[in-house]
Amino acid sequence: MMSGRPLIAWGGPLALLAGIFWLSLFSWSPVPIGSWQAISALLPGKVSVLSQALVLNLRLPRSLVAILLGASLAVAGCLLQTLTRNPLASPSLLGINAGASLAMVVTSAFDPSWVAGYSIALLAAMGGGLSWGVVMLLGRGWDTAGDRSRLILGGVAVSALCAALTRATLLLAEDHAWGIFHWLAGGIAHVRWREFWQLLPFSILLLPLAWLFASRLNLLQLSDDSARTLGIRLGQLRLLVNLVVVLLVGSCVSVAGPVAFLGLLVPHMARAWIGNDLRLMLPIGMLFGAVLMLLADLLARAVAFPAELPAGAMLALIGAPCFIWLVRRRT
Amino acid sequence: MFTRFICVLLSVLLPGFSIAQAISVQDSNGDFTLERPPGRVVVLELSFVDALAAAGVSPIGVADDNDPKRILPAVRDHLKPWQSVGTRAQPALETIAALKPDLIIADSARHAGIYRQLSSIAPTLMLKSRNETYEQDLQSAAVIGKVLGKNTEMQQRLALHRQRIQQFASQLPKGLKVVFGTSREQQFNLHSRGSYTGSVLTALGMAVSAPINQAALSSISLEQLLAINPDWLIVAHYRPQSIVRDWQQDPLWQMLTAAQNNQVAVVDSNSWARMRGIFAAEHIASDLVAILYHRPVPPAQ
Repeated sequence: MMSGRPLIAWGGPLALLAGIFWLSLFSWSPVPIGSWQAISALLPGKVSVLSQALVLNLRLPRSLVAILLGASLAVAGCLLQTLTRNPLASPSLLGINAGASLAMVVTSAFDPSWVAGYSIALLAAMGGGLSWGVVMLLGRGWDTAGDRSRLILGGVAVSALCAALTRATLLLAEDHAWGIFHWLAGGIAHVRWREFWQLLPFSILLLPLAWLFASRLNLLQLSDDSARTLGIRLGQLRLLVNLVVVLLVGSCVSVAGPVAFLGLLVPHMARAWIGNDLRLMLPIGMLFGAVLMLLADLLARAVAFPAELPAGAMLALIGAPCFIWLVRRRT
Repeated sequence: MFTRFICVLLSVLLPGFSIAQAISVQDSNGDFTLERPPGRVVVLELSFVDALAAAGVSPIGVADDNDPKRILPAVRDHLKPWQSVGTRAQPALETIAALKPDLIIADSARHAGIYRQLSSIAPTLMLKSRNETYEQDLQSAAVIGKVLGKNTEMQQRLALHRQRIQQFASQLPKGLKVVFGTSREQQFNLHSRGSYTGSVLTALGMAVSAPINQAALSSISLEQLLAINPDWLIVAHYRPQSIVRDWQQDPLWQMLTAAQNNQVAVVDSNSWARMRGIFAAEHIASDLVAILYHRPVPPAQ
């Protein structure tokens, strides 16, 4: 645990983030970009060369979106693991990813006329929100007396149902499946400034808001009863935190598709690094999430260069060994 | 001696006599033999429909994805109405059985899993269709011609086809860098020269990109498209919401030579990306001539 040495605890991840961010601006590009050009493109002035235009219009928004995505998903994961007091909880648990995937696949495959004109991203987010609502109803997400595992069971059930329907739809509409599979893995190969501006308001509002809940959620880590005796309105807190989570994850899904694993892994990394205090864990989690997402996107470009893989697939590749290491360290 | 004489005599007098001889060809499973030319044929890929039309035979059943319009009008004009046997991915076996076919033609990759069920319904010819190249398609067409007992007709049609393609190619400049791709909501797929459409364009004298990581089709980003920077960009949009339309709003789009010179064309996705075959290649060739001379491409339907 690094909480005793703040310079390393905060400076280390920050330096790592800056380094990877810089790398992500120029490396593995089909059109060669110099490492210096990557920086000079960011400086004010006229951009005339193709490589600089690429940095400014493609690489920069992509890397910034990766940072926002990583931070948002990491925070969503931290909040959920605290709320459900389950170390295996992650944003995919509440059925948001599964619902978003289903909505995306159904609209893609059947192209119903009443959704014509809406963007796939919006529909995916709506699907995610809808399945989240069902999970909350099944699990009584606001109920203070109820058993917390109800929420998890509800999430598992709804996710399984959505996954089954998704698979059935893919079988029926095999013609479109190829394109959909790519999206289902989650990735940010095609994001631009528009996606960045779409994501930014959610991150700016919700990430600080999540931090404001941190001290109250800290008490929740003890037990429901002690939190209640310390004056926490449990039902309200649960509902609010759940809302923050669904908005964070929904905004991410609408930009990058269902990115799995990050929300599960980062809380564990953050906890191991800085300890259980959510007031510290959330900001460190944001840093780790951003680093991990950038790294995944970088690898997604590197492994099959010049072709690209979805970053979501890379996350599982980096994440699984990290997770195994964390688990072994605990025992 | 006398019987042999009769045989020779009959085979000379009756052109249809050769029908009585067994037909033997090579398919992807090895030797394939039919006792007599089939009358009732079911096909499970669109390229086989094209080959049947070229031989002048109408299939009784087609896996047309329940949408006859997926088949080129030029092909449809040669055929009598058929019954749909469902999608190419999941053909309806009971419907096929009910049609009592004499021959089923299936894709050696896509339908390998149901080969046993298919061959219990009727003799099943397995040929490559999905991921085939232009030359492989013409070879399959020749095999289909033989199996149908229409070898002469098919050879004539193939010769005519080669002549037509030559004619189209002679109207086109050589070695132009052309990129053809299909665009979906989230993906632009480049058809390399290892793909069907890519190899047709190559046969027409265009310079088409090589496969990326040995894949005939690969999803590429705007960055990669900028790196290839083709003279002409030809796009088939599968959907109204399509990533290339988003890219066209991007400031980077204007850095493409094709965009600067107004050399970006839109084509029909059915005839350029789904159909394969003799008619399909001729359709692509005639479209390409129109495109490169900045003439409007005639609508497919």
